[in-house]
Amino acid sequence: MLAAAVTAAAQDPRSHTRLNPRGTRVTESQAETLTLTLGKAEVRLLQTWVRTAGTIDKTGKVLSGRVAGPEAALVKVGQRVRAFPPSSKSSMYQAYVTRVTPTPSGIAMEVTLAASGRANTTLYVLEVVVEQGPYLVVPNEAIIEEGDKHIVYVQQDGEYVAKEVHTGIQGELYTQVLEGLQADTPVVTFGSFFIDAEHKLKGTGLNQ
Amino acid sequence: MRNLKRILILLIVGLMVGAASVTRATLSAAVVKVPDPTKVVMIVDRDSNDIAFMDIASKKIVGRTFLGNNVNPHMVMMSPDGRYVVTGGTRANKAYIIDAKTLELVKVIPVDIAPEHLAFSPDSRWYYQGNPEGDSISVIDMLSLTKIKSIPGLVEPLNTVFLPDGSKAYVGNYGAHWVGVIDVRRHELLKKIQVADVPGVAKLDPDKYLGEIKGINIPQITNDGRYLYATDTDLGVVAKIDPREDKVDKIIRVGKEPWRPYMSHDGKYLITPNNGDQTISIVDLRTDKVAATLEAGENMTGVNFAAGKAFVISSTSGFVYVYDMNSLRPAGRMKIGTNIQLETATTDTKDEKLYLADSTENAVVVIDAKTQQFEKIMNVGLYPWGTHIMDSKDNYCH
Repeated sequence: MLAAAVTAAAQDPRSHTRLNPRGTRVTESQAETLTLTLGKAEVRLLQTWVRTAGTIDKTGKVLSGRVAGPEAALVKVGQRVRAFPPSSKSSMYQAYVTRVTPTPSGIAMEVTLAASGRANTTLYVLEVVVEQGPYLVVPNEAIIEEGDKHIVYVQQDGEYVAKEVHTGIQGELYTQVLEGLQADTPVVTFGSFFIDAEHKLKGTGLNQ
Repeated sequence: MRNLKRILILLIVGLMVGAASVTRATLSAAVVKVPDPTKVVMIVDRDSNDIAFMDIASKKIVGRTFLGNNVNPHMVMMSPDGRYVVTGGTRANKAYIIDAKTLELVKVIPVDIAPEHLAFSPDSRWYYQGNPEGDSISVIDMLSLTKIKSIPGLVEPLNTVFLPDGSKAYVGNYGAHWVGVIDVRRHELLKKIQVADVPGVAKLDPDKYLGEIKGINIPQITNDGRYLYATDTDLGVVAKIDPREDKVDKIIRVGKEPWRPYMSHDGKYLITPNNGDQTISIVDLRTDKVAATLEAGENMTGVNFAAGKAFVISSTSGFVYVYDMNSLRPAGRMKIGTNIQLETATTDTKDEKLYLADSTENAVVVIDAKTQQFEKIMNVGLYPWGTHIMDSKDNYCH
């Protein structure tokens, strides 16, 4: 009697009325309304921008900054830096990392501007452009986080099917895919949220 | 004997794998023509339908991307992340996307009519291609390399500028007297900002005001991203726009027929070349008042800043007029040639040299800003129309 009650309580009263579709169908006109965009899982150069603050020296050309934590290991001499004072955020100064010194908490670095910096400005935002190398990636916005899982919607025979992926490095625009997708698989980028919402309306099961 | 055979097979397989790796490495190295995208000048060759890439140090053309017959590329730009170079083909009605390292043409995307000027969102995600004849902007998603939308309702959109946070974009409508505000999240026209009162018809010179409208070229953003300044060519004014409220904050009268504003690199001044009276107006951005009005040349197409000076290009006279930005006085003029046509220029990131397109001589003129000496690099392509350097503060077109 108790066992039967537990079983009944565990059931979702709506579950038997929901469809459990293999995939979500989206017509051409719906896709246009949603501005649905497909990208591809492909091997591309993955960029991470390491951001920190820097102060300029008396010459007006050399900036000093520090990076702590795991990102410190990414910074190398020769990397391109986008530098700008907070008071001049629409006017970027081109620069390069010219010295990296290990410190107990990470690294100290020197960044040299191509031209002289802004007059009477000592503080800069530094964005070090780190090219991490070619990896199998998907656009960041293709990935939907569901608890600990990462889901992407892939196009298969005109339907959109949820796939769980295991991700690695997250870059500025792309995220590395370690497992779950093959190169050239079409994935939903812009509009994946709407596909996900439609999918959840119809059924909750992942189709893998 | 069996062991020997195994060793031999392993050796052969090893050699084959090694050879394949070397070939692959050699091939990858061979296809990269521009290892560092900051080290080249991009040149738009209108009549040879290509983008040429000139090494800044050696002044040699290191690569060239042919776009197709009768394309007529207009403006070139590199994405802020350095991945792609893009251009709009005015006669082909298409946008062209080039890999910045291999210089391969990776995608051709149909857009609207007569694409000209373009802009990138600060995160490199969106490429807005303006189509002046189609009165629209084509929105290209740089992740999927597809056109996801067309923004209609504009009037001869010439130039677009994004706010530093990428939330909104501002469009200059040369065929109207308003600036269009685009919501970048939805890629939709949010608002039209009328820059100034248009005089009543009875007061107007019919020849001038009932003809083709010459309105707003570009709403230029200040270095701090706080305000935009837009010239209106017909009305002869500069409107200061507050992007927080999307309202005109102030109107500054300048010379006749101002072409567009150009911001000095230190953020202190803007210059409008006034083709109606062949002057330039220098506006002090701290007071929003004209600090100087100076004589200049005819048919001015651009202004570059370097070595504490402003260089104003007089397209049909063959002269570049120079002004000292400390004293706000003329500092001479440079004769680039006779019976030539000058187009636009970019400035290097060191603020030392200008790279000026000289279309009738198929050349790029390299000007040393400090000494005011110049050198012509010939045969860069047919009818070079403009130049671009990644991260330059003077990347513009006409």
